Amino acid sequence: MTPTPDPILTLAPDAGSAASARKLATPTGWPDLHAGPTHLWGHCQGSGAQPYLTGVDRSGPDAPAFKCSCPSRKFPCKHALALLLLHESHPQHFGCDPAPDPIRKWLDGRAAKHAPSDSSPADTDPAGETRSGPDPAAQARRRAAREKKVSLGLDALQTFLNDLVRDGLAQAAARPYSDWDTQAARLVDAQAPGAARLVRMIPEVLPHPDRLLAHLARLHLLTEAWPRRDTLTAPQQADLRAALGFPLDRAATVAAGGTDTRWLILGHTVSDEEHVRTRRTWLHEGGTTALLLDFAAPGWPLPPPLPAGGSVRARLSPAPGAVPQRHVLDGEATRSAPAPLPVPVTLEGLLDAHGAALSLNPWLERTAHHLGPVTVHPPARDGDPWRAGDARGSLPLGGSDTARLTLLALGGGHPQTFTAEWDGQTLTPLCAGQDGTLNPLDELEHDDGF
Amino acid sequence: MTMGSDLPALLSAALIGTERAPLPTPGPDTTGQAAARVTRDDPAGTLLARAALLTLAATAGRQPDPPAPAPIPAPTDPRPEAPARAARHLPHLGGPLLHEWLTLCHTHGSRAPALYLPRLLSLATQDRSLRVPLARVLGERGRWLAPHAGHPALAHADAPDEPTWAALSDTDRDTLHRVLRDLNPDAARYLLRTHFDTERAASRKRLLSAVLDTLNDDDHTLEPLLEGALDDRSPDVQTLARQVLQRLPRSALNARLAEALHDPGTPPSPRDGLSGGPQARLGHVLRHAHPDALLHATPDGPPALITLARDHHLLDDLIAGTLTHRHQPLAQALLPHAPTPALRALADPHRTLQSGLHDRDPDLAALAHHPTPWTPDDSHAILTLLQDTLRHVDHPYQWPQRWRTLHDHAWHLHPDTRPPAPLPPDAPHHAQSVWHDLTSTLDTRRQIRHDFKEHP
Repeated sequence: MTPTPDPILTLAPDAGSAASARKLATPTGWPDLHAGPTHLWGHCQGSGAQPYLTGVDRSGPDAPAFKCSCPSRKFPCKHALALLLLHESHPQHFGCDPAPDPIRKWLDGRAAKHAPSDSSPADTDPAGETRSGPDPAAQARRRAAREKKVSLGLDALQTFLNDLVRDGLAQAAARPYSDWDTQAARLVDAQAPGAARLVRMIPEVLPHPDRLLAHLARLHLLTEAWPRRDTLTAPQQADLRAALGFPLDRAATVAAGGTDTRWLILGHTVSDEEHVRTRRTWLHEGGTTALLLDFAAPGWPLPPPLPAGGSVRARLSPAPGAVPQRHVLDGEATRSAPAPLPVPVTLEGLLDAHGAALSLNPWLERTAHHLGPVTVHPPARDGDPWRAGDARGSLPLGGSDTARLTLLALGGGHPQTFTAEWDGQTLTPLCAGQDGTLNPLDELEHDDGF
Repeated sequence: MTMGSDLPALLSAALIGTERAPLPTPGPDTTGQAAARVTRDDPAGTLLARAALLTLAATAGRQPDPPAPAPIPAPTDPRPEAPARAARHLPHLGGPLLHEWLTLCHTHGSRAPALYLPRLLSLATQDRSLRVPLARVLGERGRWLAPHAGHPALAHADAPDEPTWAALSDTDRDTLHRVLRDLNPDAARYLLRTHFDTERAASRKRLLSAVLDTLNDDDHTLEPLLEGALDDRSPDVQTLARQVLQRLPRSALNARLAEALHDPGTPPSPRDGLSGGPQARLGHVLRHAHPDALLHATPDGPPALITLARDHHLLDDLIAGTLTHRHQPLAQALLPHAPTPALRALADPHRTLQSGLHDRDPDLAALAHHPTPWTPDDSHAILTLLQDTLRHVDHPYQWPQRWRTLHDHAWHLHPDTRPPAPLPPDAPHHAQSVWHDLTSTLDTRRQIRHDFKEHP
């Protein structure tokens, strides 16, 4: 499978390499570009007289593998990443010349390394060629190596968190930003990008001591759960790994089976974090609310969104976890007849559902709901938050000004229904209910036609 | 976040630091007892582990916050929302097309759909010219919403009370006054009479400018106020008041000016704009007094007035006054004496236009006096002319200024205009692009009208 630009750039050793690779990913700097069945190679004109010879092997259990004649000590180097990006964006520029000797030898060596030592008949296809399959022993070695790195990284994080609390959180705001960045970078090196993301979020919560303590406690829980992971059930381990940023095995998730049915799209939200733009698409069917995640590197577009408020026929497979929230789309989603709206829940119902999910997965960040009947309350005074309320209480209403005003306009101060994402602090409205249909609020937001 | 009973104490200790503050004793409640069982080697670790337990419990067990004060609901709207077929265009419209949509919505007795109100109000923040057309179609829901969207001036269809007026900025007062001039002119005049004297000079100027821009015959009732403004402290306000009074044909100021027309002995009156010698004063009268007032004071009609002006070598002043007041009868009478293009266009815009189209040289001044939208036949002729002149244009400035100006007026083309045949395929890219924009805009306008008419 050819990785899309986002996963390609996640292979970069640092943000600088990713940025450089993006710049290099134009055919003009590559006098030669060629693709074989499982490999790519090309010459990239660098600063020296001789172009660098770059190759990518997309076969084998550790694919993609990289080779480049450049002197960079980063691995993979920007040239190798750019070669992958180029093949994704400009496949028509690739010829099919045989690879030059250095690349050929490297590919042969890799093939020999991954070939089974004694091929059984079942591993050989009718043409007599050996199938490349995962090597369980190598996989186990790699897994062990990664887990060791994660353990070291989380040990260091625990020490850092304890130091923070020992010194007093009142001092935390005075720390330079580089403290958080350094700690996050160490966690990236330790292959725990999920924990790194949470560390990068610390400056956002510094002005709110209660939220800061909750955030640090959540990180602390990760550091305590990891050494005890063997005592957790398989779904709980999956939740822990997801929270730490272990990549989801999409193929295995799809292979485990899914539901091919008509899904109602409750809406989507897009958030930008340091190195990645994330779109969360919430879908609903029967009693299941599914979350699809799409990612894009800065400057790259997200894939086309599913129609918020509309319905699609799609096969979605749930990722392993105690709460089957994240799903993977298997194949294409096609427009379908409108699916019925889920029965709306009250604010208490929403909090109950969120709490129940949290009790199963303490790292769950958000849940989505069809809410109502609730009334939108604009702030009574400057500085007050917007609120969504019913007779029993209210919750803060976030989202954009346009989204909130649209809800207010549609409700006119009367109870109404809408879909929203709840993150434990704030409701983010997604679609407004109107005459039995959902109107996406983010499209009004981004429409540039006016 | 709602904090559990032990969390505040835990937070205090965390803020101070476990090096200096002891760990708080867990409370007797269930979560407190659960927290008491959580201990680690290090007080900081114990604090964080307990905080993890308590914050999770607090989040999972969170109750809604106390109810917020309920907003006063929007009043019921007597007018229906614009039909969905017409509303579907809204997200794609801008500038003059959006103006046209709002006007059609008003003409068909509809109001803007609630779904689009926030975006429309936001656009009105950037574009002042949208505010009045939008105010016409806001309906009760839109007026109710306007203050929450930062448009307190659009919340009223009647004169507001004193505290509300006092709380508005100068810009909002101007907007409110202009909106009321359109929606409820009596309320606008009441507003002016009530607040004009206490406004700052800049605000008084804005209020009078709005009157001048939207003057109608009923504004004669404002005369006492305007007469008073002739003595205003601000010369700008005096000038504006004088201009408004000059535009009201039956105003006392016009009567005084007309009196001076036949009485060279009338003393100077700077308040009325009459200063300098008799010739200068007569020139001012001919240039500024309303032609109806001048003709009323000249029993022998336009010929006598023209003769008077010519005898005093002040025909240019009379022509200028005729054009300012767009006085067609006087323009027709003046034409034999001064056949200028401007007078010809004012005197008979239709004929001037037809003749210009025939000669492939349309008079742009005549178009300004022509009722809009132009008739489908005139529009077709203008469109054909534009196409002919555009055919070989491959960059904007290759197209002569007069055609570019005519193109700028294309909003006045009738939407039902039969478009000429397309440009030939070998026409330059720029020509194709301009032509495509022009015809697709006409298509959109036609579709919007159709949607309003056929899908009530």
